[in-house]
Amino acid sequence: MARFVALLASGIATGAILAVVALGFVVLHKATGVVNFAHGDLVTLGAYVALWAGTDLGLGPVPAALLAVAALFGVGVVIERVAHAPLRKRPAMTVVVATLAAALVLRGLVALWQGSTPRSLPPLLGDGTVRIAGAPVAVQRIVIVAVVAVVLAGLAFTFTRTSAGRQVRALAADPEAAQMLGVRTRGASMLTFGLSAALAGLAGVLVAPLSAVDLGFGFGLMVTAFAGAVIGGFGNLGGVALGAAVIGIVQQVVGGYVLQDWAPALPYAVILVIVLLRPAGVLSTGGTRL
Amino acid sequence: MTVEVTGSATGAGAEVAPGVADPGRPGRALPAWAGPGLGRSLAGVVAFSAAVAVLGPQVARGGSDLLLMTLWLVHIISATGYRWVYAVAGRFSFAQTLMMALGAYTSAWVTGEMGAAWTPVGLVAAVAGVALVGGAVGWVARRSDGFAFAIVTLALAELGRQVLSHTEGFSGRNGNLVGIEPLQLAGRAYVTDEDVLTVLVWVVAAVLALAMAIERSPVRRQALAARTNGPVAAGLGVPVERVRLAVFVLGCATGALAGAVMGHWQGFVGTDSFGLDLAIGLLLMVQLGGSRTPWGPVLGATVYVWLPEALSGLEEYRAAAYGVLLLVTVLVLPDGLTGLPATIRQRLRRGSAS
Repeated sequence: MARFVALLASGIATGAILAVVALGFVVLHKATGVVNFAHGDLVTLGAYVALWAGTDLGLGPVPAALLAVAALFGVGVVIERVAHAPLRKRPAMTVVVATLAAALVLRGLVALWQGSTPRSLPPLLGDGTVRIAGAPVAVQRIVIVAVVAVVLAGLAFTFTRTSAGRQVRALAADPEAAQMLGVRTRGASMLTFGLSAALAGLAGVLVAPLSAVDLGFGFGLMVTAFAGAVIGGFGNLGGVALGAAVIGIVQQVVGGYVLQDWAPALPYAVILVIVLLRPAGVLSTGGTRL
Repeated sequence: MTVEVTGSATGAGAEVAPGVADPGRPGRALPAWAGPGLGRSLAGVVAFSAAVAVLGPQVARGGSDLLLMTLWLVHIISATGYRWVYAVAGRFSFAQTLMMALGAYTSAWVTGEMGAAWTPVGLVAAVAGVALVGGAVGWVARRSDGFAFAIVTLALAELGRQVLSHTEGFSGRNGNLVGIEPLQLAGRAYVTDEDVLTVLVWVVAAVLALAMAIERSPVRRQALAARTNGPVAAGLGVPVERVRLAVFVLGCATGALAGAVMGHWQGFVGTDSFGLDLAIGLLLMVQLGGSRTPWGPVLGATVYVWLPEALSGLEEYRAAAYGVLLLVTVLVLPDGLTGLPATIRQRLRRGSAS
């Protein structure tokens, strides 16, 4: 029982992280049509910025994490200006390649800045554990779930109750109609890129204390999050968050019990199974909206 | 499908699209592969291959230069295959490196089980086996377009790497297979870099000749029509799914050939050699060289292989340099280096018009 609880706690925390990664990705995709392959490297960058703020600036874990999230918002806006704005009228695949290039640049710059040796980030509230049903659960995992719950609630509020959020949703639903009705495409696009990158940064600072941070760790997380987004229909936020949670739990619980060697492969298998079941495409979500 | 007829049908030097009746000789259609200018293109391939075969070993002064030149030829083959997948079939695939790896393991396994003399069988098995795998992937994901196909193939590539690291009998312990037999063709073993280079020149010549023939065939036009606007192309009678699948499979099989030769040449195959870095590298080669002509991947592979040499001493900047190069290419040179003259001409014309 204790083992199951420990695996479940681990699964929920992983699912929460994947949800943040997937949401950042899907929000951007729905609002701007951009498929951002640099998203994973933004996760990595977030972790490294927090690492730098902690070691070089001497900030505590929480201020360092906040600084990283804020910095990533800025990086997202810069990416929008440099790699997206000049390509707005170009074919979608061109933009995808540009984001892949941005990912390479980001990874290369992080390697130059911080080196390629795996590092670790201190947990936000210390490295203690609490016992739940006899199982030791790291405080960091509880912090992850709590922070993600607050962020999801905040996102839901932003998208339904605020003017900026509604503009982003309008843009996602019908860009031309939104423009005709006065939505400022440029501002909404910059805001979405910033928000998406900030979510990536948040995922980075939350997950980094649980594993070693290296240059490729964000990309792997992004591909796993794809599986969650695909299960959730790549559409509304609730579905994506739920899909990501399912992937996290399945990966940890099933991987922990029966398929230890294959746990990292499970999300990829899920994507392929969904394609088999739904040959019309993994993204055929019809009129799904944010 | 209506096939575009370029030039004046009655004027001198009119170009006739393949598969269309030649107006000069009523009732006779050109064979599908014999498009306009094919002879000139093939002459270019022969000249290029001959130049590499003759000058290559002389230009390459020492071991490392010869090694780079051999690697360059391997990448010309793999990038040509990827051009078919990415630019002609319009499939943004991350699984091309998996196809290369499968080709390498298959040929290595055949020769490991049966001896180096079975190299031709190994190469054929690699190409045929991967064609089947590519066919299955392309068919299952036939309706996944653009980014969705990228995700599916990314998942497949990662899953494939995991599987290959667990199939010890086929792909070695943890996906690392060592001691692969060298190429042996018609009773002769090709062991040194110089030997392998000779074989590769022939393979490159054959692949480029095929590329030139396809370039002028209705298959390419149909694939481009299917890629650009599938429903309209289907309405015009193009077998959209079949054409895209065929070109995708051809690209995968070509990648397998490159991987198989690479395995025999290096004597080692590891899943890490066929990871995401190479997948992005292939994209860079095609995008940078230009995807509109078969010479694009040749030029792209040249830059990809020799850029690190140009940056020697600055190895840590390599990843960032590739990224910047890819970004600049996408932003400024959408048709790549082979499209540079046309891009400049267009800009100049626009400048003088204003």
